[in-house]
Amino acid sequence: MMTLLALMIALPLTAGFVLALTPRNRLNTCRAIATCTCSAMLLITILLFGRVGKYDLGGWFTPVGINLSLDGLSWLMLFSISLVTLTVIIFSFQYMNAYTSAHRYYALFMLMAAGMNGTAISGDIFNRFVYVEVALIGSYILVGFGCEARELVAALRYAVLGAVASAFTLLGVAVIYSLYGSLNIAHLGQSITAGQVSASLSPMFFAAVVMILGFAYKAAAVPVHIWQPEAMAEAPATVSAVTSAALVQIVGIYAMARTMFIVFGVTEAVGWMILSLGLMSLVFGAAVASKQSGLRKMLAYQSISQIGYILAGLGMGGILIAGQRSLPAAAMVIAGSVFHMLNHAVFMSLLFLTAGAFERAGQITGLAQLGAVAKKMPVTSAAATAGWASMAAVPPFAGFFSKAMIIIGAFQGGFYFIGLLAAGTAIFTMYEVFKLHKQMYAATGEHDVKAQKLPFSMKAAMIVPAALCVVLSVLAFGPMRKQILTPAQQSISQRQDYINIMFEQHPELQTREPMQ
Amino acid sequence: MVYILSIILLLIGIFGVFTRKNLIKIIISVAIIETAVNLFLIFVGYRSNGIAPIMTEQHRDAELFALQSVDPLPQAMILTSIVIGLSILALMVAIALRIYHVYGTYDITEIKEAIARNRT
Repeated sequence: MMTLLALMIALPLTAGFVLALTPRNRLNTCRAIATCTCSAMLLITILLFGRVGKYDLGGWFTPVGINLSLDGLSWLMLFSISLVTLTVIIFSFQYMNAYTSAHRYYALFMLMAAGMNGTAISGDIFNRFVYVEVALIGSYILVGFGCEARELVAALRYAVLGAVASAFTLLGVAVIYSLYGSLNIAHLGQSITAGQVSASLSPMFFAAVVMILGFAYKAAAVPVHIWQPEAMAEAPATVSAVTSAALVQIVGIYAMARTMFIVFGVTEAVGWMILSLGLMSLVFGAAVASKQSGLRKMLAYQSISQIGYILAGLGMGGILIAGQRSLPAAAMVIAGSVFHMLNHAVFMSLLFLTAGAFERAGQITGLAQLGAVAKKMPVTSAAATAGWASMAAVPPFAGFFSKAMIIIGAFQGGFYFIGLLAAGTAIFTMYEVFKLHKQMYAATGEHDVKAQKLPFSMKAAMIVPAALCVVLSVLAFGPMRKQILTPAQQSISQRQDYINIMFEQHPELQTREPMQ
Repeated sequence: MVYILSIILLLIGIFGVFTRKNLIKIIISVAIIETAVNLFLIFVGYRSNGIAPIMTEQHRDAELFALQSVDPLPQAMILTSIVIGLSILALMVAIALRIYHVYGTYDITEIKEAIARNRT
C-alpha cells in the first residue's frame, strides 16, 4: 500500500516530462494528461486515507536510506494539494487560452505538484529541501508566465529572495548534519533533545533561527512577505490560486511545523518566535488588506492574515507543549491551525479563481468595479461569497470553526491578549467583507459591467470548492474530527509517535549513534 | 575557523542582495550566498589528512575505512544543491534579460520609476 506514496511523486513528475514534450498544437492532450494526473493524485490520496507508515526508497532501511513517510498531517497536506490542483487545472482549460504557450503551463504545473507532494511526504530534511526547490522553481516560472514586464519584475523579486531563503534552510540542514551526522527526520528527532535547542547561543539555536526565517519567507509571513502581494497580483490567477493556497502552506508552514516540532522538539523560544511571526502577519495582513484597491492585492494581504492565524495557533501550541501545561488547549489550537490550513487551501484557491473569472469575463480588477456585479455574474459572485464568508469566519462556513478553535484554544491556554487580538482581527475582517458584499449585491454600480458568459469548466471549478467551504465544517465535529483532524494534530504534538512509526520494523536502530 | 569564513562570505552575499541596484549584481550576490552555503557543507564533511571515500580492495576493514575517509554525504549534497542553484541562477538571468529588453536598463530604481510611469 505504501508503494502508492512513491507514485504521488512519480506520477506528476512523469506527467510533467511527457507534457513538456507534447507539441504546441496538442493542447487538448495536455489538458487530458494534466487532469488525469491530478485525478489520480486525488484518488491515491483517498485510498491512503487513515493509514500511517513509510516507504523506503531503494529498499534501504530507515536511518540509512531515504524514506517517504505518511501520517495524519502529511495526509491532510496531500489531500489539500490534490484538491487544489484538480480544481485549478479544470479552471485553467479556458483561462489559459489567453496565453501563447499554454501547453508549457501544464508541464510546469505538474512539476510544481510533484515538488509539493514530495515536500509533504519526504522523511529526510535534505530531500525535502530538494522537493521544495522543485516546487519553487515551477512557481517562479509560472508567476512570470505572461512575460509582461511587471510580471517579470515580480517573478524576479520572488526568485532572488526565494534563493536567499532556500540558502538559509540549507544552512540549517548543514548545521544539523554537522552536529548529528544524520538527515532522517525520525532519527534526528530521536537524537536531539529540546535542551540543546533552547541554549540561546548554541549552534542548534542558530539552525532553528535560520530555518524559521527561511520557511517564514516561503509562508509569506510578515516581515518577510514582500514578494507575495506583487507576485499574486501579477501572476495568472490560476497560479496565484495554487501558490497562495497550496504552495505557501506546504513549503512554508508544513515544513516549519515538521522541522520545529519533530526534528528539533519545540521549545518555548521557538514557540514564541513562530507566534510572533503569526501575530504580526495576522494583524498587518488584515490592516493592509483594508487599504487596498486592487482585488487580487487585497486577497493576497488577506491570505497573509490567514497564514498568521495558522502560525499563531502553531506557536501557542508549541509554547504549551514545551512547557508541558494545559495540553488539551495545545491540542485545540493545533487542531484549529491544521483545520485552518485545509480551509485556507479551499477558500483562497476559490477566491483567486473567482478573481480570475471577474477579470476574464467582466474586466474587473479593482474593488471599486465590483459594484452590482452580482446581477451580471451570479455564479461567480455566489462562489466568491462562499469563499469570502469562509475566510471571514461567518458561522455556518468552515472557516468559522477553525478560527473559533484557535481562539478558544488561546483562551484555554491562558493567552488572553492573543485570543482577543485574533478575535478582534476576525471581526474586523468580517466587517470588511460585509462592506464589500453590500457593494457587490447593490442594485446599481458606478462601473458598468459587461460580462461575457463563462464556460462550464470554469463554473464547475468554482462551484465545487464553494460547496466545500460549507461541507468541510463537518470536520469540526464528532467522528470526522476524530478521523481527520486529531491524527493531523497528533502528528505535530506527539513527537515520539512519529519516530516510533518510522522505526517500526527496526526498533534496534532507533538508539544507534550515527557514525561520525 | 573555516566555518567563520563561509559565514563571512554569506554575509557579503546578503549585503549585496539588499544594497546593490543592478539586477546582475544582485544575481551575482545570490550566487555568492549559494557558494557560501556549499562551502559550509564541504567543511562539514572535511577531515584533515582524510582519504578519498572510495572503497577499494586495499580497504578490508569498513570501520577503519570510515574513520579515515572524508564524509562523502555532504559532497553528494552539494552536488545536488549546485545543480539546483545553477538552474535558479539560469532562470534569474533569463528573467533579468527579458526585463532588460523591456526597460532597457538593469537598474532597479529606474525600473521602478518606469513601472510607476506606466501606471499613471
